[in-house]
Amino acid sequence: MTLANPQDTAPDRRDSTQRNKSQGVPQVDLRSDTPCAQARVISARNILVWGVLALGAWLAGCGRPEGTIQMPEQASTVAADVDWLYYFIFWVSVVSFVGIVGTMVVFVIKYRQREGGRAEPTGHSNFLEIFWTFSPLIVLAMLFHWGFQGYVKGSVAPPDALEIRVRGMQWQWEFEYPNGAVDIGNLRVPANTPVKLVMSSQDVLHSFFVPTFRVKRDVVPGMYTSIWFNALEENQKQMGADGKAVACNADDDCGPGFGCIANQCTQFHQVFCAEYCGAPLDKGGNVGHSGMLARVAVVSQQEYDTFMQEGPAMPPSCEADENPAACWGRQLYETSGCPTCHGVDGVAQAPAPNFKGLYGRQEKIADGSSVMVDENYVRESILMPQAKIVDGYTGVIMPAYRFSDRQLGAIIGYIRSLAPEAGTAQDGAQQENSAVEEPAPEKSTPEDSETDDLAMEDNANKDEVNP
Amino acid sequence: MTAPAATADHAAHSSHDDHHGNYLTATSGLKSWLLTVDHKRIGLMYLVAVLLAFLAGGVFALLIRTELLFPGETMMQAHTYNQVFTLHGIIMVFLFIIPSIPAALGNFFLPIMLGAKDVAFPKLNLASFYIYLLGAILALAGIVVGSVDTGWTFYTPYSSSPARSASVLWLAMSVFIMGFSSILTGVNFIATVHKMRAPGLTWNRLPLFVWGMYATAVIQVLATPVLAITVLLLFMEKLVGLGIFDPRMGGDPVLFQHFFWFYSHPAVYIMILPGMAVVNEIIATFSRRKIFGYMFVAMSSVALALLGFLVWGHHMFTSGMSEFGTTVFSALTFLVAIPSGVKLFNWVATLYRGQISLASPMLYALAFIALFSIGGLTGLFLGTLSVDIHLHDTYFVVAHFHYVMVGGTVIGFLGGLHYWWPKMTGKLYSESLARVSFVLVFVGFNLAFMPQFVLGSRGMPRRYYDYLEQFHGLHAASTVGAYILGVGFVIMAYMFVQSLTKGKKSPANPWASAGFEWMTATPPSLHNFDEDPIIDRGPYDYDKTPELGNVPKY
Repeated sequence: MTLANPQDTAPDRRDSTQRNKSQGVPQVDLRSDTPCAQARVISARNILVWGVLALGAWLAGCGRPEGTIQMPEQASTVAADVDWLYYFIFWVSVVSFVGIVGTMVVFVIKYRQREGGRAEPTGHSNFLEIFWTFSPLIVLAMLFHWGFQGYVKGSVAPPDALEIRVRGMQWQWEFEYPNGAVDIGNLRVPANTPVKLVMSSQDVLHSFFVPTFRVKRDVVPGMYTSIWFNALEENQKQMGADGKAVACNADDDCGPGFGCIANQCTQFHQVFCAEYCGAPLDKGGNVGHSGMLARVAVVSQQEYDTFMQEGPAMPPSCEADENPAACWGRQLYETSGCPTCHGVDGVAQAPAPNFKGLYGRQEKIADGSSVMVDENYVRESILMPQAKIVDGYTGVIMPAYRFSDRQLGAIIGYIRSLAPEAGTAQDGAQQENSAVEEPAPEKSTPEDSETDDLAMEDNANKDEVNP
Repeated sequence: MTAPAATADHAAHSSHDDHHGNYLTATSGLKSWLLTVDHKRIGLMYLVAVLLAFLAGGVFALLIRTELLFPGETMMQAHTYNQVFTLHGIIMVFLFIIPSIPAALGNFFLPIMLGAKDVAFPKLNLASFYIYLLGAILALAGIVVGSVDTGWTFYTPYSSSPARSASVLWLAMSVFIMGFSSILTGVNFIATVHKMRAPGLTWNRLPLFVWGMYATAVIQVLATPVLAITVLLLFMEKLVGLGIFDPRMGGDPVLFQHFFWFYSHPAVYIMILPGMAVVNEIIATFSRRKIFGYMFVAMSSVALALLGFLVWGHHMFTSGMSEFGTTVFSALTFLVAIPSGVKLFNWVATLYRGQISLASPMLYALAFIALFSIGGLTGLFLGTLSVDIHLHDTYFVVAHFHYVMVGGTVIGFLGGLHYWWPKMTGKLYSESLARVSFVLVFVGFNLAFMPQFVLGSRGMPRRYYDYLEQFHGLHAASTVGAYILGVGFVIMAYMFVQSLTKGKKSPANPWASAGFEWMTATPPSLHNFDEDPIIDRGPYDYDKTPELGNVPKY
């Protein structure tokens, strides 16, 4: 290694001799100093190198299935490959950093300005220049190749993958299963099965990101994008004393680390929106982009199959209710955005018919005919809201809702329970007097109404953007 | 550099200047500043403007970090937070970093380093400053008129939604106008470097700062018009209803990203090349050596300028671009690592057997090497496709570009400011305060951004107002780091103000540098040189200037 041009060093030799207690002849490497000075430098370098390596090892290790300080748990088939490459680059970086900055520090210490010292004029080495211009290419080519391989593996879904539709909207994720069932915020997939998500957006850009699966893809309005993954293991369920999964209605019913998904306390994989999508202008509780979270629960093939055949199951909390169908229907009513337009207190209001006393009534339709509100009419009005609109309510377009047959039955049961003959005598009296004392359902606070309002708009847009 | 009258005796210059006054005192009155065509005064006015922008952007940065100190609401609503990080980005990128080194330090020193009396088009130079001011005022207007919460990237269709029309148009107009300021500076520098070099100043004697500015100017001239076109298309969509980016009108939102990054990736090199350019000057002066591999370093700037145009797609690996396109961009991206590495290796080699002074500018230059190494090496993670899929749009990216933009450009800018401060103002500053603020800036910066790498790799997405409890510790550490960084800047500001009011008069060549800019009086006289200089050596030829000795201690 010849950084210096020997011919130019002659005038400096005297100074450098004094300075470094070194010999008169300029040497070509660090060993020009006395053994003692050399030992000092080498040991300083050693300490630095080993210190950094130890720090790095502590920080890093390498990829592990349960996750590391740098990486979350490896929950999909591609995660281990990604982590391996991540740690390979990490160690390449550590070595390069120590090489560059370590050398810099050593030079700064060794060649600190000294009284009367003279710098050695800069030489030139084409060999060195060519060497450090082209030698990194080897590592870079390796990184490109491995990154490309992993990317192709992660981009091309196996042909037999289970397809699930994902719709991103401000600010929630909607999942639609092959059987038509729709869930907002929770996705259930079978373990050890390739799952392909076909994704679209109803409004702005979003990005579907599951850190534990190491997958991410933008969700773009006007086009479909897709990702696929194969989840390795079922998520653990929180087990109660009876040996069955703990039933729940909300996350609060579950222990830390568990979420209430499909009325069971279960662990899950966090889904983030990774492409900025804004926040509501009003001061609601909704934080927009950073609140656009969802959860993936990996379940057994058997549980998934049952779900596919029967659709969403009745919440266990309703099983003991004296009218289980109405209990479930009321929950669906509250969580699906219905209270925004449909009241249940019997007070006639815009923009949609009140459910109280509706069932069994003869309603006048906008086209002049009339219809009896029965199971068939309610079902039709949910699935095809535009089919028969009651006179006076034509101004608002209700989005079509997708429910399974069992869910439809529950909603019909709930509306039926609000009919006069099904209610108690007290209920009937209140209805006659148009009393308003009956408390509104717990969840329809003003805040909820606002967010629901947005959701309704989005649903309305959906039909225009994605017919 | 030798003027016909020997220049070794700097005292002769100083006394000479006392008769005519320097550029600061040659004329007086507000008008003499506002209508000046002197590149040094324009550079100073730019310096004041970009420092004000830096202050504003910095306040927004502290607001962001304070909000993120705790999960949930700490001090502002989500919508306000979105505006704050948007303004932080827009101000820091367009009003501070892009003009910082070229328009302020470049304007001041490029002509002097060339032995020229001014830039090639002095009036255009002044025009570029006023265009910049106009853009800055429009940006302010946009902030007043309405809420811009799109992020500095203005991604459609979010930015094209009707609720954001007015304010986004103001900001877009502001960016459009500031682009012209950038283009004019670029044109000016290219013409000046080609046509105004003093006799004897051959291309291979050109200071590496000038090479860096030249490469930057090429990008400014070629890339900035694309930004202007993008903004015009955005206008067409808004005002005429032409469906270009908005899918509701049949447009393609990904097309906007292509357009945007076709400018904004080269713009990354508009930002980092000047930082590298400054570091060359500092390392040579404070190690008393010519930069090792001079031509390779010079050409690596040009290579970065050209390669910078070919890699915009690496911002869009998850955007819904074709798999083939993604692959091509990944391969090209890795090539960018080569010239950056060449610079780092050559700088370290320059230190070998030098006489290294650790005066404050050198501390910044060495910090640049360390921090830019981290910034560059973490780029390898993001260029690698399968790993980027996981890291894209997380805090890992935030940490990466802050290591490049702050650890690189801002540290380089501060190094240059410390290095050339005596030249520009004629005053020395307190070296001990400079060291204290350096340590705080260095420690604070690393504490602020190192945890963000881990946040990102663990899955924390960027632009999040709220976060899960598991990320709290690292966020809190980052916020503490930001506060330390802020304190460092406050001390630095105090130090510079103190220098202006009470600072000792600087000698003509306080660092005993062989650089051409130190061969004139300090501060320079109105026309830079009293006699036309003739160049008979390179800017780093310390073996030919033994009379300079080593760097004096302060």
